[in-house]
Amino acid sequence: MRAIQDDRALVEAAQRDPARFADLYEQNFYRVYAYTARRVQDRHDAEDLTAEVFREALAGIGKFEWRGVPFAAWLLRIAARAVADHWTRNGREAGAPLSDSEEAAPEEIERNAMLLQLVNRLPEAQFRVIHMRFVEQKSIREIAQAMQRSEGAVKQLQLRAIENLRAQMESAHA
Amino acid sequence: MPERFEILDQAIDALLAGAPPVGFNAQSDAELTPLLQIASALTRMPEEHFQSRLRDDLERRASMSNIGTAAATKSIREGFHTVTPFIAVSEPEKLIALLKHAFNAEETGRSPKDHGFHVEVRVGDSMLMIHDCAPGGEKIGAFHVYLPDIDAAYTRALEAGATGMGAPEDRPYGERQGAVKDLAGNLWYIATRFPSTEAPEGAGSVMPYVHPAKARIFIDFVTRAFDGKEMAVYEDTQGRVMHAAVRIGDSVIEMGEAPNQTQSNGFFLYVDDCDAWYRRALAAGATSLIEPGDQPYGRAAAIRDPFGYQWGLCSLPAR
Repeated sequence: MRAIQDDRALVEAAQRDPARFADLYEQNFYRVYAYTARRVQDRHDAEDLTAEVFREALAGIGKFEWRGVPFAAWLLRIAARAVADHWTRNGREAGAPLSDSEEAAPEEIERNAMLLQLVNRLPEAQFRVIHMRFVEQKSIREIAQAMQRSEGAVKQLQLRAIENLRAQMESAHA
Repeated sequence: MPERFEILDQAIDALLAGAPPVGFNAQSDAELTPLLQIASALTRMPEEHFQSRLRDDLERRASMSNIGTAAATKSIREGFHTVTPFIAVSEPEKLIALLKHAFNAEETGRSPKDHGFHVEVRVGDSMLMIHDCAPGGEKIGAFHVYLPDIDAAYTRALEAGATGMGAPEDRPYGERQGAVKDLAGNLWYIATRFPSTEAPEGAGSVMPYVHPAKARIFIDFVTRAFDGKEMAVYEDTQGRVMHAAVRIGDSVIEMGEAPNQTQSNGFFLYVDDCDAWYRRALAAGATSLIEPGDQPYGRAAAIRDPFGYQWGLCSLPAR
């Protein structure tokens, strides 16, 4: 209940002053991103769609009517429409859309959103390895050169980062 | 038996290559599966600065939507523009007489005697607000005034007691310009554009002209506080800003850098949401003079910017 009230206060503040939309953005960025990334697979498409969702939400915040449903649900409805439009625009060339049965469950979206958030809190060296490996798609050798460490040390950092994330996810769910 | 970090790395290699999972023994699988699930989710993480780039983009859009709302809801008082210069002098009647005589100013409003001294005058399509003050509390500045015949206006200004600061001359920047100083010390750059010179967007008959010590810092403040849009910046060879202009809503403020800043203009802004713009100005580095409050004429607040210029903010009462 408290969360819903906070949600409502943030929405009303953003409706009075669009500069306050930043608070809603920070609160929901990973959720929206996790949703679009789950549905379109390609990182750049997920980023474009996430941007589209927040721009549309900002433009339409004045029209948002409070009906007791979390603001995030409204954002995810915009996201669902944006993803559907994406598939319509790009057709089969962009790959096959997920069927409804494959669509991510809300718990999975929340779990992935939390994971992405936790990555940002990793110690710097672990974050760098994860970013280079999974976003920049660099090989262990390339990362080792960039960080001036041995390949073995980079692999250990990679393991520690992922174990670290797993431990934090487990303690968050405990 | 390979180390765990080696086993995990091989599995990640296969994952990133889109190959089938590498088979391990039962014990490794039990340990690796949850780690690989995390690794799989990480393959879709956003680029490092995507979140902050999008935040900046949304902030820009949010500030533009504020100005858009202001224009759409006609939150500016009839006959006024977004920015109205205000001047505080110890002998306001003398100044008003000069403006009427030299610039054909028309007095459009005067507050009742028991409400303090507040007079509004119109010069061409622009408004000025004039207050009185005790000696030492003046708000004086510089103004760029466009008039149909500035040679005549220059003569009339001297007749009304102004001091000549440069007789009208044709200038290389597309206008004939002279300057006078009134008794209180306000500087009036009076000009007539050449027929071939087009007025920039938002240019009114009177534009406040400020002389801050650092024009770029002033522009930066106006941009962050009031969603100002830089229109032009002309620098000399030493990088000193000789002339610049910034637009706020439908008004333009001009400036030229002066290392020894002596003037302290005042501005009155009509905005759609006084409280929101007040907060934004403080976030941009302004100090509060008057917190937002309800007044008979609307919701009003005042701030002082880092150069000592005062800005009154006012949103009209809902109709």
